[in-house]
Amino acid sequence: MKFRQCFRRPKKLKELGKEKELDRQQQGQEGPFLTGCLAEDVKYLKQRLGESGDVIFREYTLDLSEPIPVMVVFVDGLVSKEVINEFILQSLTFKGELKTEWAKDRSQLLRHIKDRVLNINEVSMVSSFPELFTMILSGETALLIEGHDEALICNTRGWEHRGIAEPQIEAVIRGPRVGFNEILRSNTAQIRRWIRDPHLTIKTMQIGKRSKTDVALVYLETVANPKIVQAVERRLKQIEIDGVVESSFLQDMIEDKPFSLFPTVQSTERADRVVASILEGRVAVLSDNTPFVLLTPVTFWQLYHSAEDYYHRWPMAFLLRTVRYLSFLFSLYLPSVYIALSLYNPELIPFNLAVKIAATREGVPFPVFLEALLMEIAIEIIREASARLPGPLGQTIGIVGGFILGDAAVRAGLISPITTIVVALTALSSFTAPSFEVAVTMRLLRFPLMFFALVGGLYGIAIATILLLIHMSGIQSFGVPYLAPVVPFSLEDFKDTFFTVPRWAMINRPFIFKAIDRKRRGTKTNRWWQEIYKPPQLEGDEEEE
Amino acid sequence: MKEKKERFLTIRQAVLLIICFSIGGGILYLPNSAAKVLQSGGWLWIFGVGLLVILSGLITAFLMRMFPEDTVVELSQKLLGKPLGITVSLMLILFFFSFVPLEVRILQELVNISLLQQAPFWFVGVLFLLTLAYAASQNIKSMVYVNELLMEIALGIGLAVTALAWQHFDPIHLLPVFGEVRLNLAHFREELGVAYIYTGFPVIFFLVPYFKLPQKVVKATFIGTVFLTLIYTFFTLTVLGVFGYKETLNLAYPGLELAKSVNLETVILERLDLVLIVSWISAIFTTCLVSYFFTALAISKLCGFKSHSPVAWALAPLTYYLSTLLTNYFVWKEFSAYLGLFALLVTVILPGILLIIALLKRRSMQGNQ
Repeated sequence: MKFRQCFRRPKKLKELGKEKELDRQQQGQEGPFLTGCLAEDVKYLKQRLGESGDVIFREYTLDLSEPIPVMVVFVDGLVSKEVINEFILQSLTFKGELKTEWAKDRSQLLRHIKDRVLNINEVSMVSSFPELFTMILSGETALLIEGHDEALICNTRGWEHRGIAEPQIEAVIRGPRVGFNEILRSNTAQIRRWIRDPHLTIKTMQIGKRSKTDVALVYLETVANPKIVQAVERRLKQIEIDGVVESSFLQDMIEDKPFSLFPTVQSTERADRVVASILEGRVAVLSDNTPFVLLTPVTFWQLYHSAEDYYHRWPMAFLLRTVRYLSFLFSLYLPSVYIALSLYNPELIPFNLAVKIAATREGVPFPVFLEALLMEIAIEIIREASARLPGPLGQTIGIVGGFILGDAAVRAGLISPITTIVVALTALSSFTAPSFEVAVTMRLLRFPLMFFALVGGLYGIAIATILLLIHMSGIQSFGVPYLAPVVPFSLEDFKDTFFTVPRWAMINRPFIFKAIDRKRRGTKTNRWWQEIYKPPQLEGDEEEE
Repeated sequence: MKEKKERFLTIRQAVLLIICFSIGGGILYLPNSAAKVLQSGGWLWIFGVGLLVILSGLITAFLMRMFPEDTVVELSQKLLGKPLGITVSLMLILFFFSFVPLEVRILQELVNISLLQQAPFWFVGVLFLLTLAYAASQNIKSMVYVNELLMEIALGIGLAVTALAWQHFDPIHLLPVFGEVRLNLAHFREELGVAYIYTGFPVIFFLVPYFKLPQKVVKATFIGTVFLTLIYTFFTLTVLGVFGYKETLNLAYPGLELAKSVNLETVILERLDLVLIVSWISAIFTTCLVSYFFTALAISKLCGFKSHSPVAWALAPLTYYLSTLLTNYFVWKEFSAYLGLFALLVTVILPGILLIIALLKRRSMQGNQ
């Protein structure tokens, strides 16, 4: 073969160029590619971007022995102009001692500029136009030089953004006050600040054919189960979508049961919660342009956990969780049980209470189901109205709607006071859910349950519950059973389900997530209890004397 | 749908499956049957039958342990040849399936007694059967999870109610301890009716391929049957102790009466028997689900179907028709007695024969080698 090659006709330059292109295509890059002729490349760039006023083309000349034209391209507003002025343009101006060296080797000019001239922390080279466009449009500055078919990409990202603020919807009494903001980098940096472990992996990918949104997969390499990580990554990579406006777009695409009412992916904007989840061996999916982070896998019970539970002492956390699970039952069952009891089984209610209820229902023109349904719908309307109105007005609507409307309806004899109590308690209970998604699920499920109660009384409710449980037992969130650790039973994980045990007793990470590294901290063989319960001997010396 | 290769079943889940298959509507009239046989010593009778059940459960478990990859459908064909094997499978299918109409009927009666007095059968039955078919069309994993969850709820409430009834417990009711033994032929069917409600362990005929550790099947069966015996004995003891056997004989559902007798001042609900019934719907449901699911599974295996879901849906109308045949208390009580006879055949004699054949075959195999 070698012998033959010696006698081959030398390749023409054009052919060489074609071969280079072929090589690139084999590497998975998409054309077209930069030609090396500045005028042509700029013409192409302007053809594509020129109509947009925010794309700035700055012509510049390198003052070498013979002047070389260069072009700086960036998008106004996405870049930090100071960086461009000080570190790119200034660097490119005349520097005496280097001048001769540059001139010597024209073909290496680009490399020289990259290595010696530009004092910018992140510089890379691209050769294809699609890549170049993406880079420019995500806030980088491109530097094109005459005679080079590669462009230098300088990291000059710097745009206006919201600072780190306290999360609005997952408020806590105790705990860090920081939430995420809309900048992916700033969010990953926050996680890094919490976990200074080299094994914390932040895998970035771009999703969205047009939006090219940066999406980051964050997990602890030595803790999270690789199968779960792979599953998340695989599902993310399969996404074919126009643009990712919010992380819920991703959530829809990676969910296990798309038709289920129950969310199988948790979303949060609390940084501490994300960090705690990563430490448990879960995987976080961060998306650019939104403070909401997706956490996978998730169990049903976790949706009722608040970040705060871990910051209070454990008896208090026990109380908080009990209240929350109780109100979960209330928010789901209260109206339907009320309907079932008053329609079919009033004998279950204690006599005095039953008489009271009957007395208040005197003269109410609606049957009990319709009454409860009307009130539920009214509550939903009030809730939606107060959510849409600006802050202070929203509260007013709440008071006007809830208090005045309810009171007036009762006084007018349209609604019985008991129904008002039931519906109000239900609405209040549904507010205790820390996760908005699961609260909405319960709000939705309440209506079919009320219907079942109307048709079948307590029997109907029992059947509906069984149906619900069948459905929930069938759900898996990335391979983790949704109702774990209750089914399948795992005693160890009960330490952090309906109550929390003291931090020193949480020795293992949750088993349900099948973390590779199961131990959170030292084991019992460390004799931790002796250390904990040994009081400091403050006055011991004196007593001995 | 077919997850044959996946071994996920823990001992705990298997124990709960055994328990939930046997605890259904039957337990509510169990003390009645027991009192008929041994009067005030009825609980001893239950305990005695329990020991027998533990024994035959162990035999079945030993048999199944020898073939960790097979359900009874494949196993019986291996041991007995194709025609006989299929006959055995059909027998088991029939046995499992006949629970469903019976339980549906009991459920209908319970609902009519307390929850919805005038509810017609088509409403209660159809709603229940649709739920059942939906549950049975899921894969085995979620079926097991549902059972675990529902059984815990039902068992918890049931045992709590039983324990609360001890406020009326009077030891005098249990005397004389042995009573007058009336094991005569007139009550033959009643005695067998007791036997049938114990038949929880046949579920392991189908379970072994799903066990995480198939060799643990013996342990699981042992725990399950012992638990069952204890629960039944405790329950019968409580009922007999509270009501005395003569009153128990006159009660159709002593279990419900027991719940009615409980009076709690602090609880907001006036009557505990309704709570018991609501939770007992789930106990009945799990019994039906297990039998229904494994019927569908066995049929689909026998016919070589890929998925059991269509079978599960197709069985629903048939079940509905069969349960309409059991028109009243006396009819289905009679039916349950025959089912008990059948149960004796399936759960005691059949595993014994199969085990002997399996052992003989193994010996001859070893001899050949």
